[in-house]
Amino acid sequence: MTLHPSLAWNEIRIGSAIAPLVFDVTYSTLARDVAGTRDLYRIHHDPPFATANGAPNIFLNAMWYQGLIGRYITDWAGYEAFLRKLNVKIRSHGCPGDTLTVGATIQSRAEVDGKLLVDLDIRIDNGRRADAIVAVATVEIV
Amino acid sequence: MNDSYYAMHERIAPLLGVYAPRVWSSYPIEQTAIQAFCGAVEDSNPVYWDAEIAAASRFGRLIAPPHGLMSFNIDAWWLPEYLRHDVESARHETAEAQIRGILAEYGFATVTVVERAEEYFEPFGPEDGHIGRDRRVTDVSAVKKTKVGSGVFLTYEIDYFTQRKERRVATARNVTLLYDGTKGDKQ
Repeated sequence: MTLHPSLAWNEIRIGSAIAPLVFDVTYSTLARDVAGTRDLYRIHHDPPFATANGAPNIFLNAMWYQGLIGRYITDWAGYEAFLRKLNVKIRSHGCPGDTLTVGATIQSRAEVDGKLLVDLDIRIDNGRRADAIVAVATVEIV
Repeated sequence: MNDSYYAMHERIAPLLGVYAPRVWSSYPIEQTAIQAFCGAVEDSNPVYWDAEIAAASRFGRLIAPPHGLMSFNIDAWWLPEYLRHDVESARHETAEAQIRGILAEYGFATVTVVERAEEYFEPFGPEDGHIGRDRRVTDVSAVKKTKVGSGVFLTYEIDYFTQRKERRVATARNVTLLYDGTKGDKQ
């Protein structure tokens, strides 16, 4: 829940981990992915099409992961925080039946041009691969 | 690189870096789309949902999750025929469409996103109208063996602008793998 507005700057310790977020992926998750991201590419909602194109099943798209990671960051940093940079690499598909565990480590913090910026190293484990998703984010803290 | 792939890259080279005319999102940034995006990942951040909290926040209004930009710019699922022609002809006449057409001739037509890097310059939200995007392909890799078969990595870059005041609010770099999905793992 993102009901706190901000995070105290002196509570941000380099090298410390952020509490993990666990998310179960079901066929309904994939339906909400299509509706929420407006991505109608068949590989995300049509299992025969997905398997015919080399995927194990329909799988979550990049926009959904952006959404989940954005949520994870502001759940931690507070709703006054503003995401400045996000780089997401997808190394393994997230399919119905998977349980995703999102975790992050604080890499650095700095004041740049009057902005308090924190760099995070984020990983999503899909149960088959610990680094199924690898992301780097910079968030502005208030 | 074999001769046929050499010819493919020769045809693609002059099309790299060529911007498409600016395209505006099919829909304006609106609260229902923001909440559908947030609902997909169960994001309860009140600056996306609660006008009162958002107005009292440093943003001063409801905003969109900046990382939802790609989603908010997905084209309409369907358009009536009298609106479809202009959209489709604009899309098909771009350098990027020509590149994708050339790659499809070689079987590289199945697409998956490999990497997406975005930078957000300032917040945007429901009062900013449509989002404009200036887009170009910046790189097509040599043909590589991947776990889903042979393919190429296509990189494109997009600058995003608000309709209101035409503010540049973000930039993005997308790396996609295009491969021949019909050949499975047998390649």
